[in-house]
This record gives sequence, C-alpha cells and structure tokens, in this order.
Amino acid sequence: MDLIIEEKNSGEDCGIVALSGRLNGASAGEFKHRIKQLVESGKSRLILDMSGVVFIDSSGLSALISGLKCAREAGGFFRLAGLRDQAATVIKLMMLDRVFDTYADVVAAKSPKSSAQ
Amino acid sequence: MKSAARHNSRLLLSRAIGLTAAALGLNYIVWRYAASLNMNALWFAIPMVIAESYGIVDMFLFVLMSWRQLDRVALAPPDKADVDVFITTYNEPEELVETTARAAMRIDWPDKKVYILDDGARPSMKKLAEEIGCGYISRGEEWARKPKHAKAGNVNNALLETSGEFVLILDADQIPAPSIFRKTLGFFADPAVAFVQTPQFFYNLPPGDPFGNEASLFYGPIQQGKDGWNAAFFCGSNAVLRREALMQIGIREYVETMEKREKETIAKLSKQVAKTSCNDEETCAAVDRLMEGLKSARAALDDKAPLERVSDLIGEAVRDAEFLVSRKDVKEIASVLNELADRGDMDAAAVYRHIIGNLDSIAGRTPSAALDSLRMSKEYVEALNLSRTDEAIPVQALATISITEDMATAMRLHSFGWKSVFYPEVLAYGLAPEDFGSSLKQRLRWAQGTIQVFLRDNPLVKKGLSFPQKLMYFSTMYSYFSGFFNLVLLLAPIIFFFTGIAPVSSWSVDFFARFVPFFVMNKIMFRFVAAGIPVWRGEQYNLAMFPLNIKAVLSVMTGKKLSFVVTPKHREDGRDFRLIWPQATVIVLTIAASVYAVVRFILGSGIDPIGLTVNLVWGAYNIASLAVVVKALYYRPPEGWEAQLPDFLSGDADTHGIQH
Repeated sequence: MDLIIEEKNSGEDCGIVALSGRLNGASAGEFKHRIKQLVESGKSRLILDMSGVVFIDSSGLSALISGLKCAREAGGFFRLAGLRDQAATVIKLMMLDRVFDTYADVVAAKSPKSSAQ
Repeated sequence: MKSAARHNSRLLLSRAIGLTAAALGLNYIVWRYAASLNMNALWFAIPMVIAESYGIVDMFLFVLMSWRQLDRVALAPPDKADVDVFITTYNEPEELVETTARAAMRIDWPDKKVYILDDGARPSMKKLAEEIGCGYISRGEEWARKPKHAKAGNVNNALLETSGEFVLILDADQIPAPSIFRKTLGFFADPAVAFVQTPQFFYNLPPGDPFGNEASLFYGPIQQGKDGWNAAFFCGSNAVLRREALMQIGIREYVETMEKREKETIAKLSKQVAKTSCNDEETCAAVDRLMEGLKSARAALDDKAPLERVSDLIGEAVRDAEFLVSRKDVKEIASVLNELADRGDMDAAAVYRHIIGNLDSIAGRTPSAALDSLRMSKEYVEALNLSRTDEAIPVQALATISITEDMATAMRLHSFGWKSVFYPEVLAYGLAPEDFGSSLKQRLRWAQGTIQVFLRDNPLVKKGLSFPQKLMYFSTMYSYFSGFFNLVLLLAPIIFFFTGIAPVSSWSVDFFARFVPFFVMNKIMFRFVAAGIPVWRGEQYNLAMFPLNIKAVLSVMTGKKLSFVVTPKHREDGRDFRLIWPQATVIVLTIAASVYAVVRFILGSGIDPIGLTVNLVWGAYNIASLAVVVKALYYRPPEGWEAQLPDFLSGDADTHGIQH
C-alpha cells in the first residue's frame, strides 16, 4: 500500500484528511476517489494533513489538483498543511505554489491568512 | 548497422553538399533581387521573386536540419520498468483493434499493462478487451457536456486511470513489434528524456505508392536531422513517453491557464462592476465592497500570492455583497409590513418587529440575486474558482490547443527542457489511407493542425526552446505555407506563353549560370540526404498539394471551425473529380498555353526562343508533378494485390541489434 488515507473528524465545520506514505501514480486514483466521496457526502471544506507524505510525484500533484477542483466546485476549499521538504520542493518546481495556499500545519490551516497584505 | 565512422564521414560530405547548395542558392537569389527583376512587369516579377525566396529559405532550413543528423542505435533496456500500452480507438472496426491489442499483449516485456482506450464507449469493445485480457478505459461521467478534445482527451483521461512509468501510445491500426520496449526503453536511462518516437510504417501501401503516403523520408532523415538538434517530433503514435514528463507539462499548463484566467477575469469583473449604478445605501455599499475585493485580489495576484487566496478574496467580497443586497431586500419587505402595521395589522406589526430585530441573520439566510443585480456574470465568478469548470479534467498532459495534438505536446516538452529521441527502426506497422479522398483528408488535417499550432503557440517566440529547436519546428510549419508560392510557380509559364512577359529581365547567360547550378545542387543535396529513399513522389505531391495547403491556411486564418476527422482506415469509394479540379485546370491551361505559344512562334511572332524553351521545360515539369493527383484519383490496385501483415505476427521476438 503506497498511501494511507485517514479521515479525521475535526468536530468543526471542516474535514481533515491525513495522508501518509507515497502519493504517486499508484495511489493517485484511490486518493481522488476518496476526496470525491467526501465532497459528495457534503464535506467540501477540506484540510489535507500532508505531514506523513514522504514522496509525491506529478501524478500525485495532478490528483491534488483534481481534489482542489472537486472541493472548490462544491463551494468549499482544499488546503494543504504540513508539507515535507520533498513535497514542498516538487510543488515549487511545478509552480503549483502559484495555486495552492500552503500552511505550516493543520491548526494554521483552520484559521487562514485573512488577507494578502 | 552502419558504423559510426561511416556515418560521420557521410555527415561531413552531406554538410559540404548542403553548404554548397546554400551558397549557390544565396548567389542566385541575391542576383534576382539586385539585377534581374523585370521592372516592366513588377506585378509578375515581385510575386515570382517572393516565391523563389520562399524556396531558398526552405532550402536553408533543410541544410540546417541535416547538419547534425543522428544515427542512433538501441541501448540496453532497464531490468525493470512498469509500462502501459494505450491503444486509442474511436470508431475503427473491431478486428483492427483486436489485431493491435493481441500484438500488444505479446510485446516482450514483463511489467506491462495493455489498455484499449475506447472513445466510442462500445460494449462490444469492452467485451473484446475482457476476452483478450487487457484493460478497457472509456470516458467517465465527468466528460458529459464538456469538450472531448478527441484523441488528446482520450489519452489524458487514461493517464489519470493508470500508473505505469512509461506509456506506449498506439493508434488502433498500429501493430507493435514484440521488441518495441526492449529497443526503446534504454534511452530513458537519461532522466531528461521525455519520449522516444519510432517510425510510422505502412504495410498496406499499394505498389508505386500512388497517394504519396510513404513516410520513410520523414521517419528517417528528417526526424534524424531534427533529433540532432534535440527537436525530434512526437507524432501521436508509435512513441513511448515518460509519464512524469507528461504530467509535469500538464500541471504547468494548468497553473499557467489558471493564472491567466484569474487575471483576465478580475479585469473583466472590475470593468463590469465599475459600470454598475446604485441608488440606495446598501447597493452602493455592495458595489464598493466588490470593487474593494477585486482590487485586493488584483494586488494579491501582482504580489504572486497563491491563486487560492486570490480566488477566496473575491469569493468573500461576493458573499458580502450578496448579503448587503439581501439586507436591502429584507428591509424593503419590512417597510411594507410597517405600512400594514400602521393601518392596524397586528400580525404584520409582529413580523415587522421580528425582522428588524434579526435583520442580519435573516438577510444572511435569504438567497440573493445579488450577482444579477450587480450585473456580475456567474461564469466570471466560476472562472475564478480554480476548478476549471469548463473542462472535464483539470490537468491536461497532451496539449489540446490543436487538432493535431502531438506537435504542440512535443513543443511544450522541449520548452520545459525535456529531451527527445527518434529511434529509426520500424517497430510498429500501420495502415495508410487506401483511397485518394481519405488520403487528402488526412493531409488536410495535418496541414490545418500544424498551422493552428503555428498561430496559437508560435515556436519562434516560445520561451524555453533553443534557437535551433525553434527553427526545426518553424521549418515544418513553414512548409505548409507553400501553397501560395507554388501557385505562382505553376502559373508563371502560362503567363509567359500567353503574354510573352517573363518574371526575369532577360533569359541571359547570367540567369543560366546562376540558376542551373543552384537547381541541380539542390536536387543532389535532397537525394543525398534521402540516402536511397525515393523522393520524386514527395516532390510531386509537394507541388501538387497547393490547393490543399492554401485551403488549410485560409480555413485556419479565417477561424472556420475545424473538426478532428478520424482518418478512414478502409477504402472509401468514388472518383470525385472535384478533388483535383485546380490541378486539372492548371494542367489544361499549361498545355493550351504552350500550344498557343509554339504556334505563334512558328508563325513568326518574334517570341524569345530561349524564354520559350525555358518555359516549355518548366511547364512540362509542372505537368509531370501535377499528373500525380490525376493518376491517384483513377488508381485501382492491381488485381490480386493484398496488404501483407508484418512477419512477426507469426514469427519470434527480435531482440538482436541492442548495444550493451
């Protein structure tokens, strides 16, 4: 199993999804499927706890974009929290830092940067 | 296998010939501009010299292309690699797909998964896949009511459903040789290599190749030449691609598109909101709030803030504005109730008090048409959502800007620094169109697609491409503009025969001394680079396709809608004369005009005999070239002729010739 996906009930109005392992071509499909299920069940406000993700490739990033599309289309959000070095580097390399607002950890992601000053 | 030393000495000779031809060409064209324009007939002389210049530039590009021609040998494949085979189909006959899929299952590579990508979503095809034991992928529900992007969309969809490190793409009719992975995967040892393209070979070409489909010049010297400049083209089929490279360009494209869209939409919205008039406090406050939101979004964008945040800034402003407008609506209702209460309606009075007491919470829960009343289009707000609502899937690895997706994709890969390989051994066997009409449709599609890429994603100004790469892409696009210039070359003798007017000031010794060496050297160079591959058929079609190339350019330039026509893989009957009327007209005119001129010459009209001779030869060359389409239209394969399936379908895997 490349990736373990855990849904955590935050008790607040957003869902927390903790990932651990490798988000790559092999696990991207399952990941997208689970996000889609969550959004369809009404949880479109999602925080992704990425602190357990040790490796991510382009297919994994593509799955993150699909997740973002899914959540935002339903009027929610899709925030990435606690990125490790490898993930942060790849995201920067692909210029995805231009799209994703990333947070140090889940707590920070719950109270987003209020404005872009 | 040719030895490297032999290849190198051949390459040196090729360069010498190329340089000589280029020098002679330059010598000729400079003289044409400087000393030999027919000043008495500039209407004729200028188009002619422009057409000639077009040809000279074409030759320069050809010399550059052949300069670093590679002759690659296969490298040892890795011990292990997960590969996917994609067989793309839309409406091709089942047997055709079956042959390809069964051959794919027999490819000599352990870690492979074969998929039929069925854009026709045919249940019978699904059953076939089950029978053969390969995968089956068709578009999911997310594609409903979204642009399909033809084959590119089909492959992009499958990329999201599969996970192999490398992907072999095959058109439905391209039967792969068992050794295709053993021969190609070795090149990926270089982590910067994004794809390895192998030739398209047609096993159904009728004797003499009447339709000029034979592609060994392109899938030989031309691709090998481009390969020398790290500019080998991806041609849509018979290529192995690195998934990581494809996904990467898909993601970069997503980011770029979203950034551009965010910027444009904010500008459009700001304009719209600025035009909105307001008469009451709340609406004015709502307009102000929107303007403020758009302004801060714009500032965040300029600050390179993440687009998510930019989008949220606008989202918040829209929500606030909606609230303010709802609040106004609710207050209006309250004031009506108040009037009723003044007239003694106690119920109305109670409701009024309730509303006023809870104004904000009620307004917050009342659906509002604020977007309408603020004249904000919903599409704009959605466009800011980063969700690419107009597309089924957000990340599109294969470019969808053109009806020929391959060139655009390769160009994008090259522009991000990826390398490409052209490996010249035939490793897949496919079908060429079997009748003239289908062949023309295919040519038209290529021409239109190429010109489309030229207009929308011009390689000359594309960032990230090296200068030679730009020229390699440009030269292919450039060649599709030849129709206009070829028309001038075809009409010139006719004009001379009828009017006696020549585009050159005189048919002097100077003319022959400059033109003949250039012309002969050009032909020699072309044949030398072709290295034994017949070129005459190609030269004929190059000239004879002038109506099609002109049509392609005009249809793209005028923005007429182009559809991706699936090239028919079976014979379409009918000898439709309309297909060749322009060429036939030129042939008839040339003959009539030359007879007219010769008769006048015999009658002693004083027509210049040298000019007459030159133009007779010229006209004959034109007719000999154009005749190819007349023959093609009336062509029927000889009795008993049949396409021969490749041997390996019954034989053993071929793994020799790999360099360890």
